[in-house]
Amino acid sequence: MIPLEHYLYLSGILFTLGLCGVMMRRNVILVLMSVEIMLNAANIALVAFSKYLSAGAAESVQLDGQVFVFFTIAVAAAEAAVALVIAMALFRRLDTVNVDDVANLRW
Amino acid sequence: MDTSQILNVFGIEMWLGVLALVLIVADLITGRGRLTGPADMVRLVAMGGLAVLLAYAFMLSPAEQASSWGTLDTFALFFKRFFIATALFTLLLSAPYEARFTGGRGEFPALVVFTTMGMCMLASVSDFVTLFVALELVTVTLFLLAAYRSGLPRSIEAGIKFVIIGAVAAAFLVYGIAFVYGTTGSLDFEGVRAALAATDEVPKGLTFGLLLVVVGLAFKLGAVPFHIWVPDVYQGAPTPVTAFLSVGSKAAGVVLLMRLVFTVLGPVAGQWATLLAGLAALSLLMGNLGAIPQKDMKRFLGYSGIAHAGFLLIAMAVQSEASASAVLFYMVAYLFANIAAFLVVIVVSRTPDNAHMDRINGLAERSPFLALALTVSMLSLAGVPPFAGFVGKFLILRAAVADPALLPVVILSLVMIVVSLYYYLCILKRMYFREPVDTGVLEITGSTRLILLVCVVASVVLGIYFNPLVVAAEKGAAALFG
Amino acid sequence: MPENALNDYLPVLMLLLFCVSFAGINLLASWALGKRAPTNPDKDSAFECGMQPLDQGRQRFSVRFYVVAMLFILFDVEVVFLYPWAIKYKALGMFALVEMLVFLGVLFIGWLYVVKKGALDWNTQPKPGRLNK
Repeated sequence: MIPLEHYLYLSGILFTLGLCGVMMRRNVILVLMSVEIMLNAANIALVAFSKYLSAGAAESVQLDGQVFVFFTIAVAAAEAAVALVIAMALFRRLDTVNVDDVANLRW
Repeated sequence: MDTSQILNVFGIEMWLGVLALVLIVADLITGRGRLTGPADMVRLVAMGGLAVLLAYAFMLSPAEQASSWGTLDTFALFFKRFFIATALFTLLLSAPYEARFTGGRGEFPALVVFTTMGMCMLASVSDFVTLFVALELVTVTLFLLAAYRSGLPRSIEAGIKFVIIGAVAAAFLVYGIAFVYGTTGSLDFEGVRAALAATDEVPKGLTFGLLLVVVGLAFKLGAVPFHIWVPDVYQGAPTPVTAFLSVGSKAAGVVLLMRLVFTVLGPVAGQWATLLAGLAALSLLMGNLGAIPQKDMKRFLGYSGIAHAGFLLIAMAVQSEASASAVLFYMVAYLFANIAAFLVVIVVSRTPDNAHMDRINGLAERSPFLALALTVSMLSLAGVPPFAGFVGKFLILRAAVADPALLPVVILSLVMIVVSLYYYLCILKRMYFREPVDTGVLEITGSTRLILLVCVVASVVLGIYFNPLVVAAEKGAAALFG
Repeated sequence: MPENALNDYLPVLMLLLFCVSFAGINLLASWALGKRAPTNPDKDSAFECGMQPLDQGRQRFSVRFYVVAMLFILFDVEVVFLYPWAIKYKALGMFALVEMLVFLGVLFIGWLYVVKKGALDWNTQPKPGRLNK
């Protein structure tokens, strides 16, 4: 069996990659994709934890983590749809998908 | 059976959901893109429904036995009433603003009701799954509301910034929850609390997870260093939405953070006090100093909101029953002051459509009533006696001085109160001593007058005759310490 | 690494060598033995291999694809809740059935909204005037 740490390393790497993407990418769509990577990193961690917690407890299977992932997936889809709609409005109105161009709100 | 248990705890939420769906269907049947007439009707139906539910929430008594689905204690009830009242105020505020929605209007009340449903759920969550789903229901609908004027560049900008920051905060939250789950094997608040109480040395993974959860919630609350979205989104979003954000969304962060800090983190409360106090100090500094140079009313209120988040965080750092009840009082005082301020901004910023501070110059000449309302609101936010805001600040500080470790933060907050007095008084100076830039006639409808009157009276009455609300707040807070 | 561990990989190496030499010898043979015919443009065209490319591959396509794709994702993802329910249908009983019907009812209202607002209407252009200024 692959040790739990490996899953956690993977999810940590993905989460960091996503965070870097959010901070460094300038294209709104790519920023949103990076956020999805972050959410999926969390999902990997949840499923891995769920699996290894059930392996520890012999009789009671720990499914909470996997059920939680269902909710994250559904919520992430809703969030992505809303984000893309706003990105589309942005493109239609300001003709850009570059987040650096969207900086008119200042003092 | 499960159904009755769920309805026991989440009855109000179910009715809110039904109301929102009815609104959507009603809009589809009557409106279909039409701009006038039916949209008003949809809003009126929404307000009627919310008023009935508010009355229902006041009649409801806390559930006796705990359920695995959620808790309906006095604390949850207090906030449910608070959220429904906020939504009602938001819809009332949107009446004079609605003419500026040139696209569809019918969805607006439905979205507000959906957000309220999520907020009410947040008030009684007792596990991380419901917490996440309810919180996302709140944030995702607020994204849409912030970008509701999708033809207006600043509204889209607010929307896109809010979406990106909100989504990152959500990712932090889920990642944190994953680690909490992994180290305790439980997604219940009770289970996590038990795990924390059982060990002397808290596992690093658990601390890491809880830290990420707190970060995710600090984003919601708009506390420094997770505040960058606040001024931009406040400025760009439609004004009724900004009002809703500033009160409702902040309260949503507060209610969750209180549940976490006071119940889940109870066994290790001492270790978290420093962190919370640090966040409080940063928020106080950043919010109050940032507010001084502002030239836009909404942005200004955004910075002031960050400063208020600082005050609320002081109370969380104290972690006593007195501080918890002070937070509840503070939120109510903040509600009335903020609603009044944003309503004045809506009326003043009508044509041309912006909220630059020059617009309130000479307001006392143009409309003494609006000027009076804004004066009371600013003084209440600043914490000047005899207004409600003063009592809120006083209660929090009184609770805070009991803890000698927090003395530096208390002193800082006192300094910052003086600073805030300066910029709030600058607003008053603009109203009373400057020549008006605008000379157009201000359109003040009957409902505007009524809401302002309610807010002013509430701010004054709660500042003098505060006992009933203090008692209610103490009852609400007591449930947390059970 | 012990010597015998490397020995295990010997067949792989042999197979690799065999493959490379087989392909190489065949290519060389066809080059050496084959007749060299003059090329012409027709011979280089994509004969029976798809359409002639009309344009560059990187062109913009209608925003309506995105709308439909987004709506698809939204409704598609909700199926995630149907699988566990379907598997445990008997055990969960009446309560879950009603619960699922409520869930699908809410989704249905969402679908009604989508249809009524004309989001799936392929022939109507989204009008810029409809945006909320």
